[in-house]
Amino acid sequence: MIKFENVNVTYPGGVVALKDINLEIKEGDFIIIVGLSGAGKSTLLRTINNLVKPSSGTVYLEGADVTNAKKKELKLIRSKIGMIFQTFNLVNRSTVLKNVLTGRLSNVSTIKSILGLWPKDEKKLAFEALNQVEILEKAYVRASNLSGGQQQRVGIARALSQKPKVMLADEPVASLDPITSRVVMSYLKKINTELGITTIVNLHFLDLAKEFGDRLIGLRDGKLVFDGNVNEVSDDDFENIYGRSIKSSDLIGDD
Amino acid sequence: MINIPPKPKASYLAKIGLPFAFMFSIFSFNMIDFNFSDFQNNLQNRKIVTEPLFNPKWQWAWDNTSSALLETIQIAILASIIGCAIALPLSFYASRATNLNKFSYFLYKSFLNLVRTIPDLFWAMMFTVAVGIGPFAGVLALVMFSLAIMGKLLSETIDSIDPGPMEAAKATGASHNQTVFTSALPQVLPNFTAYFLYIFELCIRASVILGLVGAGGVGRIIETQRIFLRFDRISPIIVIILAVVILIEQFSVWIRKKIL
Repeated sequence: MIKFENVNVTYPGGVVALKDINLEIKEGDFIIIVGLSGAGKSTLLRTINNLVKPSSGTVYLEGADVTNAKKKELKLIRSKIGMIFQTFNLVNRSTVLKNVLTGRLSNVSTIKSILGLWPKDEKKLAFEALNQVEILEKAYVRASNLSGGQQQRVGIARALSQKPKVMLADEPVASLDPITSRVVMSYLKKINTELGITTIVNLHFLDLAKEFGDRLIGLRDGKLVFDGNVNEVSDDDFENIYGRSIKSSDLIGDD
Repeated sequence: MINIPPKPKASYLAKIGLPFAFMFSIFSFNMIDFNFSDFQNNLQNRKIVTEPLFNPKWQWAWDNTSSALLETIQIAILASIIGCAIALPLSFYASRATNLNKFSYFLYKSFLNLVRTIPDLFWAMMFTVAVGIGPFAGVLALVMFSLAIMGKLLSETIDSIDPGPMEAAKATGASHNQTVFTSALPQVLPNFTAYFLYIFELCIRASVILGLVGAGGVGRIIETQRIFLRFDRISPIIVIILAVVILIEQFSVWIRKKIL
């Protein structure tokens, strides 16, 4: 469903973020990408919706060339890809509902969205998405008044309202405590199994990766160094991905 | 024993700059004939100014300035509303965070800089020539004045917004305009309101002076009375203006505290 062909990313200034990535992801997969910060996890995720454009190579989504897509085509592709972020990226001063409606922007005209004239079915999709992450009662609350875990659920609802085929999660639990982290991860897992949405999650906690992942991909210095089932991964593999022995800060723990 | 690093020597710029600034000041004082004896002589000779200044004609000021003062306030309200309304969209074009086209960003930024460089009194003089003497010229002058300040303050605020929500909106396939409206605008709206109130205060003060060049308001009365050396009439006007400005400032400080 998603295919990377010889993807390289070099940022202006010369930092090489990805080196010759070849990867294939099947529909309905739940994939966890691990690696140290700076290993290229975020960059890899962002090449899938072309928020980062590869310097060379191509990313395909359902056979369509994402990397070289024209403006209009790219918007259409992006509307099929939900994304959630480490820092939630909500508009703090806006209500939860308005934040979730952001996921529907590509389906309404600019004028209507500016004036807030949302069609009923679009609003319905937003409410449904909020219901799926069990935070519907907060629809008219300002985003800034929610806890971190609740804000991330709103982030998931925003992505869900897009009715996406792919869900990208960039360090979705890095700003959360262990308990809330597991709640958020289980929502992502539920979305994957119940709705069949292909999900790709960046994580740096190894125990969480083992707990929730099916397929594990390891990045080190922009290179793909591991690709396999999560049950087959050994401590040696982790040490190879991290380039050092495992520390307690690589685990989220059980608190 | 610890090794204390050697104290860096004072830069040459300071060594040369300070004496130079001192010499230049003295030179300048001489050039503009600055001397304290003028103060003394004038205060003694010009009883014509000081005496009436401290014998204000309150009743006259009250009867003759209220409508002009109202006009001043009206000019300030109209001008700050129109100026800030125009500046709101311009600011998004003049910020690197929301305008990705480097060339058009540069154009808008330069336009705002140009408008700001021209002093408000000069705008007033130009508009009195363009549209005739009267409050309309004053409104136009202060529109440019508000536009320039709001454009500067707001575009710099937009530069420093959290880019995260914009990235999130972009990732959903939203158009650039939609992204700016839903994710950037709400972040700066409280600042916009606060700047608006601040600019309204500035406009009140600026519009007092506009009358001096014929652009309406209470300044016109000050100017005519000054020509006839009626300082007994000018001093109460100044006190009234002071009271109004303080009142409006307090009001705007109160609102700004509430919204920020």
